[in-house]
Amino acid sequence: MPDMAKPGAPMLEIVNISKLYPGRRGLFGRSDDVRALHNVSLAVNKGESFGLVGESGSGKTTLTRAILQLEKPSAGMIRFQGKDLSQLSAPELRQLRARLQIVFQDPYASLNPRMTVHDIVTEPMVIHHDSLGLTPRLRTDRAAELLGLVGLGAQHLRRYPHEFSGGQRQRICIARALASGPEVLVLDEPTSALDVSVQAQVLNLLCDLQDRLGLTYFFISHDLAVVRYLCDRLALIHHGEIVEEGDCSQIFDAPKSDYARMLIAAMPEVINFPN
Amino acid sequence: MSYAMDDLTGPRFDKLRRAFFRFRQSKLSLLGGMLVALVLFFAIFGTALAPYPDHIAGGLDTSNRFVAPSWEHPFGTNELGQDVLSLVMAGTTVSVLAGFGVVLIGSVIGTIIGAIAGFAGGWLDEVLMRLTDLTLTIPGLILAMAIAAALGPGFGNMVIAISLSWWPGYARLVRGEVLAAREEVYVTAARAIGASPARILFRHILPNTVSPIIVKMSLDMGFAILTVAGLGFIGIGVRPPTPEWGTLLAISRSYMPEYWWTAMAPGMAMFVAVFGFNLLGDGLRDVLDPKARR
Amino acid sequence: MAALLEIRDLHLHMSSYEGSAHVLNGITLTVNRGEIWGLVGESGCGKSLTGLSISRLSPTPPAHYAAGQILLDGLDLLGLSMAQMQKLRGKRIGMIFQDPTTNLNPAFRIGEQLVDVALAAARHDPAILECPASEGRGVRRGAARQLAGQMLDRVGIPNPQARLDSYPHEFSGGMRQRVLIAMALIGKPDLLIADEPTTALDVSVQAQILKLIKANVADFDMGVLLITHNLGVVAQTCSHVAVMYAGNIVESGPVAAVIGQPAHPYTRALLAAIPTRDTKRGMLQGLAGTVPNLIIPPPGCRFATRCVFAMDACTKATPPLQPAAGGKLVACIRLAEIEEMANA
Repeated sequence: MPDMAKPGAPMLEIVNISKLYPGRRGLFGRSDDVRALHNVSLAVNKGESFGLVGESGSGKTTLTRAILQLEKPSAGMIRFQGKDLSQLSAPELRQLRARLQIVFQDPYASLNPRMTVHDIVTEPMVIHHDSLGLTPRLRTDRAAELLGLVGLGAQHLRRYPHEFSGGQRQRICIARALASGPEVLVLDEPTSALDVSVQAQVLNLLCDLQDRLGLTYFFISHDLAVVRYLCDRLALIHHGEIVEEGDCSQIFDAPKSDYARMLIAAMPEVINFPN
Repeated sequence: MSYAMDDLTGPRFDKLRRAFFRFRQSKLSLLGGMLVALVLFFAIFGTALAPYPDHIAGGLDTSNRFVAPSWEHPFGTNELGQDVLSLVMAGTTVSVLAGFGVVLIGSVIGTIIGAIAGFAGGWLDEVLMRLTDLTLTIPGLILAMAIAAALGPGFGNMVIAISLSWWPGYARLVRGEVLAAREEVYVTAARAIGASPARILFRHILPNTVSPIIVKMSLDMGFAILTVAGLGFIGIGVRPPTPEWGTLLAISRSYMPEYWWTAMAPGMAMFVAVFGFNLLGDGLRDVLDPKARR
Repeated sequence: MAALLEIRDLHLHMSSYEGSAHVLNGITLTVNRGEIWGLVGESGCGKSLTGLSISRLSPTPPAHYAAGQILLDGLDLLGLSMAQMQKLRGKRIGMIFQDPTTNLNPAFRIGEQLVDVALAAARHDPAILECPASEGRGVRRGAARQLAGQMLDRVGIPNPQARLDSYPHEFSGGMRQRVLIAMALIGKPDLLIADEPTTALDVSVQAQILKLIKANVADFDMGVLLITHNLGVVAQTCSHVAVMYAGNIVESGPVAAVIGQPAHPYTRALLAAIPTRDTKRGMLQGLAGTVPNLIIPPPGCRFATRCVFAMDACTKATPPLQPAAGGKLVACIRLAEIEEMANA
């Protein structure tokens, strides 16, 4: 097992990240630069659930891509367990990916339709063979174990993604994310594409897994109700800037920024009607 | 546990069964399938089943020149007294094999070039695509003729010549598919897991581009056979006594219209083969259409 | 006063290569003018198909209406020809769909699109344009353009007359949806069917759009059918709600009664699955099992396979909608017992 961080220590630190997309030069002049992120700073501590709430165009997708090192930020630094991600070599980055995993929004698009569930779930183990060292037999066993952990069964190993419903596919994605033994899970709107009753199951699963495995969650969503349920701390992002940050209960009870107040007021609540 | 184990949804229709069901829906596709099966049957067993095997090897029967279609010779005999039916049956092997060879080699070369171009991007993409464009500026048949003439006669040389003019279509197709697949979420997921570029290309992207390639290969078979016949018609490629539909047609041209049967059999055979592969290709495309998938 | 929209025992089958699915199993619903009915359910329950059936936008080869009636002010819609239905659409029935991006023609200015709809509606009711039908085309076009500008103003688009000449891509998502609402209302319809009108929009914009729909109901003396999967939206906007599951309406009635005191086990389960301010971590209730296969639907109550209160009798026949407390209709044979158990 790689060296675990101390409880409470910051696992993921985003320090003054900015991302600027240069304007395109067309026939009729140059379009404006797009400022996707501006001086964003956050810290996610070990064992907690941190929510990032933003609407479309707020920059949360850009931030996710920057954390996963799929894009380089224009300025700033991202530290994972104290190490600056941009300073890592390619093999070191690959090793790090074993500890920082992601679950995407669309369960229908995030699974390769030509791979069996077994291959999907064991792929991270194959890629990180040097740190996990599992034989094919052990990999299959662990895949069955992971499926059991997310509420599916070993009989589902040989099936293809199209044979499963949305909620089940999302569980397969969670099992895949857990395969390499990560400490931090980035969850990018994991339940937005699911029905309400299925969402409840997946949220409960996430809570359960966090308690059992001591995971740290970075939960990105536009749904305040879900974030309120799951997260300990949250940050609101608007037009590429962090507008408010703090404890979940604190922000909901006494929002400081206008944007937070507006979002909370606009939440479609199922208000309990008096008898 | 407040979450529970789900059962699988719906009736368990195997993806293949469903695809085959859709295929069966179209009468034309079935017809295409049957015609192709017929052609393939003769491609494999044609030489063995031919009623006059010695004629295929080059034997003559000058006493029976230009016999009209009859019971002994359902498609008559040619100028050398050889049974036209036997020649055409044996010719199926050559033409279809040549067609397969062309499509196979062309698709392999094209897929490699297109995959590298689409995946790597940048200057490599530019260079490879300009090479593809260059090859496309030369008319296919002319290019094949030039290469075949340079390499000399023979079955192998002919197949190589045509393949070298055939691959650009596949390169463009595969490049487009790879470019599209690169943006898929499951590819991003693979990168996030830490997969190497090679793994992403071979394990994630290419398997998902196979369907359009197979459709194109099937549709191309007909045209490949036509091109092979075309080269044979001009006199490049295989030489008699190896029977080939194109050469048979070329020879029979001089004896038209009195001895029409010498052209009819090879002509019909070509029609059946090309038509069958076209229908099959259309049917496969409908079945493998990504919009109908999922 | 007669009801605006009455759906009586509607049965709809959809044929696919896997067989014929019984997607609507006896839908019964009544919408009066001035009411905003929410039609809520999860994916595959048939709510969108119900909306499409009213305006007959579901093509009839794969769809087949086995039984039932849809009455608009007493007029039987299922019996009308396509030509007759076309006259009603836009004029008496307005529709708004989910994705504002794909529902506007990108090649035409919105002014032109609005004018087209206005002129088409005016063909059947010249009073819309406040301009006699005898007037020339130019005058009528002018009147239609005036009306289009007024509608844009009504839906809250700033600088309406100038924006008539804008193309759809020059608007944001929320603005486009407002334009679509303007288009739906320009013919002064009696019934507005909105199919997930705010799902593709941000939460802040969503609230504004819902308020806009609500505000126009009284002005136009309309009835609204708001199809959504979001109970929060229903709670905020609707006066009445019908909850659907697997092709059946399981509970319907005034929104306060249905959401405040849910009676049907599915409604209860659905509400328990929504995280609210008071839901403690780990207390969210999921719903076990999956939606039944509608090609071979389970006998009797379709929710029985997942219902914690299910008994043998539940699988004998589809439970009819029975009156319950609070002016509701509930389709459950164990209604009284469940009430007791819940209060115990």
